[in-house]
Amino acid sequence: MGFFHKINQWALTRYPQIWNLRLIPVLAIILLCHLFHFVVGYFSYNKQDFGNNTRVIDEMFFSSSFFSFSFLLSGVIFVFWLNRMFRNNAFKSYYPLSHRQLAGQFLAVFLIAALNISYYSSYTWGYLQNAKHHNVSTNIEEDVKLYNQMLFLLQDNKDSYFFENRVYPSPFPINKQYNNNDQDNSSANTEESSYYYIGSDDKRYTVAQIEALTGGYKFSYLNYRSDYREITPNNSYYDYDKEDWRNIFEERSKLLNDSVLLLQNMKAFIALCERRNIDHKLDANTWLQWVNHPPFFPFEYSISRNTDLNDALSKNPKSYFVDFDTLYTILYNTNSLYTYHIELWVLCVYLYIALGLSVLVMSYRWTSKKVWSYSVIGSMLLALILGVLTAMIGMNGFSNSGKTITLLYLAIIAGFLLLHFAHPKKLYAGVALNWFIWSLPFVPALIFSLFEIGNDSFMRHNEVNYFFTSIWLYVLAFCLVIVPLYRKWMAAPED
Amino acid sequence: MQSEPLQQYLNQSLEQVSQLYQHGDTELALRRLMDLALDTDHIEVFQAFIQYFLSEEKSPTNATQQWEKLEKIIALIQRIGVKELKQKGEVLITCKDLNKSYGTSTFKLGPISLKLERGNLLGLVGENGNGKTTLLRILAHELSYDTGTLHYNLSQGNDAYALRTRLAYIPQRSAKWLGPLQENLKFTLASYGITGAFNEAKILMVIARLGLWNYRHLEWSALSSGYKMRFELARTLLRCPDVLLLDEPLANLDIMAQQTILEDLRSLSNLRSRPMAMVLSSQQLYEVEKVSDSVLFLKEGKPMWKDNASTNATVLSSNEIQNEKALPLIVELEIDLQRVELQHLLAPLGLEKLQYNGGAYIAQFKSNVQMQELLKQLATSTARINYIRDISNSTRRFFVNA
Repeated sequence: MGFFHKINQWALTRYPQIWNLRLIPVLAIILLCHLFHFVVGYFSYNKQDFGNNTRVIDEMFFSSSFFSFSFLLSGVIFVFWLNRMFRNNAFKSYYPLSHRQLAGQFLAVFLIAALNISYYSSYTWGYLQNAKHHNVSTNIEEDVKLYNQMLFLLQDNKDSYFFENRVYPSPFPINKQYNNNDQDNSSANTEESSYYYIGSDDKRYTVAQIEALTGGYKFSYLNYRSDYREITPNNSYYDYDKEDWRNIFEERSKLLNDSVLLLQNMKAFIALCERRNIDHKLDANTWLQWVNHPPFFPFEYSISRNTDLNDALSKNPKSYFVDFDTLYTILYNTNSLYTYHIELWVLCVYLYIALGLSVLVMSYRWTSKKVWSYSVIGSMLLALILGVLTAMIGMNGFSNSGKTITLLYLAIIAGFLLLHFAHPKKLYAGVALNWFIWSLPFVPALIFSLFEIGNDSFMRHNEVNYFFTSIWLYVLAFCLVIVPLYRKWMAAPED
Repeated sequence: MQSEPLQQYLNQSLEQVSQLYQHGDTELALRRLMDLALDTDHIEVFQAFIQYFLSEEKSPTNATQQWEKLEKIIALIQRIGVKELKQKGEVLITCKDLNKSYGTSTFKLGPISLKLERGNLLGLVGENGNGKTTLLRILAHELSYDTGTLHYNLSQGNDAYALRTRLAYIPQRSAKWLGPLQENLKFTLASYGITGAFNEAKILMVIARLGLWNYRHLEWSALSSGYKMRFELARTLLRCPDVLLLDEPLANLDIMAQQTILEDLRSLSNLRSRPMAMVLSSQQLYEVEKVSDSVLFLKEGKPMWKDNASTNATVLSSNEIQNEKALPLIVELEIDLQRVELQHLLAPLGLEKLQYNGGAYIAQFKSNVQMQELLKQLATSTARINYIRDISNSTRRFFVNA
């Protein structure tokens, strides 16, 4: 504590702004909290759980019971820090402060707010370190590739191989349509009269026609379309297009036609299971016999992927199986570990929250209790009025109502700035300035909404980048434009 | 090597300190010496004083031993010399025909015209609600005015915020300080660019100068009103403002504290190193008049002087007040006599008016009557005189005649 006090006193007499913001203690506390979260995250790794449940790394922290505690801790630190920081205010005391120093204050508050709400990253990082330690990255890419390649040969559910799943060649994919209310998929191959198909050419096909198109085989490895349990880069959803399916089809055909390669892959897959301690009873040669029936590769046999292995073995000692659930979970989770990175949109959400908090704090610090209270109450009333107005415009079926509302909001935000310059009373000029900076972060979303209405393809495909850039533009505008406005407002005499 | 006038000033001041000490006015001598220390603006002198106070705090010594210690500081001051960073007489604020009114209120301040010079102390007197605070706030650039001109010569350029860093306004009720007192002072000084060891030394020097040494470790809530005002003053002095505006700094202070703080204000506004212009509002007329270079009386928002006649913005300096020989004799008097008896006693002197405010009589005589004659006349009575004061030249009389 003595050392800490000395550092604090040193900052006080040399860097008063840093001291006033309590930058050193608050950063030290936040750093400790990050360290704490890292440790908790590190020890939250559980080997058994890792093989039993797939985990979305981004959601892990928020679904843990530790999240509530962390949220509370973050709030307490923020309130405690604000309480200390508000003890002194050089700006309100009219001590010399340049634009640059004020902008620095804002950036420091933004940094603290951002660091204080991002403990999840340390928790996740801690978890990743321990999980990576126990699940090395060796061969993960090859294993995932092999797993995805062999996935279609491991299914024990026939439905996935039914001809309706076939996506290549044309006219597939097709959609099954029911003639009556019977929507039970399991009866797809028994109740032929109850359904029909709509092809990608929008034509109606009977079951018989489709069977004819598929060469008379109802089930085939080549039909397999389910992307369920495929492992994609970063475990994110991948929307296959026609070209993708063509490639997949050709790859499968090639593999099924090449018995040497097929056997080699099967052996490699069995080796993968053994390397990753997956229970299995697979024999490459038998498996090859089941699968390799060119040219149509009918689906005749299944390899059990039931987790109740003992039961399967007791009923039929010759049954072939693989503990597919564990294999999938381990590969999925391991793949997550090594492909995980913070998504830009997640970063945007955090930065927007930090920006919102810092803007609220600075508007309080740079005006007064009275101005800030008026601003808060006024903005609530304004939100209520605008809400009613928006609902009225929407309900009246106004043409282009979305665009009208967006333009109205933008006009109101510009109006705040005009009000600030035009109002002779310092109180109301301050309220208008607060409203302006509070509403400014919504401007990118409003502009985006305008472009969206116009179906601008650029905006739709770059929305995350757009919002990410907007945040930094706002920060820049705050430092270069807003800060001088507050400084000028503060110096102005009251009416 | 400092200039001849500064050397002369230093020698005279040190001589004065020495005499004061020899005559037993040790407290005053110490304050004068500390003023000189502040004039040096030198860390070595400040640290020497801090050592002095620390040693006295630890083991108090007698006056002779104290003087021996102080002589070492005097030698140090002589060696280092005093600085003159700003010169007296520079006009800092000029206002002409300032007027201010509040919405639908009938009150109107002005027209006020005045000049404030560096080193000047302007007393601002008047009853409650007559515009003292309004005028102070206008001068502090805290309140706008309706008409007239107000010009600042504080070399701040066009930057209104920078202007306000040079103007210090202490309101009657200052906000509570949060956190340790010394931290607040250090922060203020560091914000003005005085950092490191010099920051700490200067803080303690100012604390000592304002008689706050024994209170420096306390919290704000543990201080009395008088000491709160002193700490507020210390903080303001550390800002080295060009203009210091104080609203009723004597309110809630006992008479001794009032006199001490007024004396301090007088000498601090006239520090050789950095004199400042000071405006001081108060209802303690006599005390303010004693220390002010000029006095402005506000009645219903209007600047007033001679018998309510002048509505022009006239500020008379104390010297001018002294020279106004034509003013009639007006005295404030507390005596154990009934009104009729007193009227009878004073009638031979040409008593023109006698007012009783419940505590004291205000007697006005013809202009040729002298105070000595009045005293002789009173001596003819056996009635006990509790208090008497000549207020002919004081703004006190405006309150009476109202």
